[in-house]
Amino acid sequence: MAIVVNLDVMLARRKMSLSELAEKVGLTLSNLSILKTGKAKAIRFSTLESICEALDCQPGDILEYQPN
Amino acid sequence: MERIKLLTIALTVSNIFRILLIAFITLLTFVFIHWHINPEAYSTVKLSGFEHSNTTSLYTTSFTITSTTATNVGNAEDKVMFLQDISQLSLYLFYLQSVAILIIWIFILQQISKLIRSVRELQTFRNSNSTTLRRIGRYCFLIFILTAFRWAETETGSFIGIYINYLPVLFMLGAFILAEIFEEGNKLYEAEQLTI
Repeated sequence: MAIVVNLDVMLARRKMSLSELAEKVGLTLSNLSILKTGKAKAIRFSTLESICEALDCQPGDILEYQPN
Repeated sequence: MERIKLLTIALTVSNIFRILLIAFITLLTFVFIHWHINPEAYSTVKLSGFEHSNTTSLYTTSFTITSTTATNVGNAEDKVMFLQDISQLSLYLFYLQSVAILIIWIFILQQISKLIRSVRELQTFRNSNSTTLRRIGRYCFLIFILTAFRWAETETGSFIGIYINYLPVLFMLGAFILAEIFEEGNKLYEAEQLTI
């Protein structure tokens, strides 16, 4: 897919673990893992908003477009 | 609640029909075995479905050929076939054909039960259900094939019937279309599951 999820990069920058983020955002660890590994088909605006709030970043920091 | 009640009724009805079909197969087999022991007991039993008719109706188109070598039977089209008249080979074929159709019906009902159970458990749009519907479609096609011909031979003549039954074909098409719809539903379900 041309959309790349850079959640692991942001987590490393913020020195935060995935389980910590899952707790803050209110998502299950498995769902966040799906998102991190790029297996997710779509992301809700509400989820994106919560992640951005928890990581103090912009949607563009998490999602990136890479042409195939 | 109403929906679950309806599905439970449908499931019960399908199970009852399945039991009835098994009982009918057992009875048919018993009669078939008994016929070998005492064929005189069935001397007056008339065989249905071996009547001469070239007709087209809403459900079936049939072509039959009846030939006779006897001189005293008159019109071959009026001849009624008795169980004792037909050859052993044609009776075996008739029995196997009937049992095969009944067994396929049992399989269809089994698949329908599986489908109803999954809908009741709110697991409607799953890949297994589209596979089930495709299987039902294939069973309908087998019924179409098995009901497409009938053959019987007597000492004085023979009967060949070719029947084109539209209902199994229509059910087959319906099942395949539903299988495609269920597959689309499954894709949507999977996409929904992968939406975070």
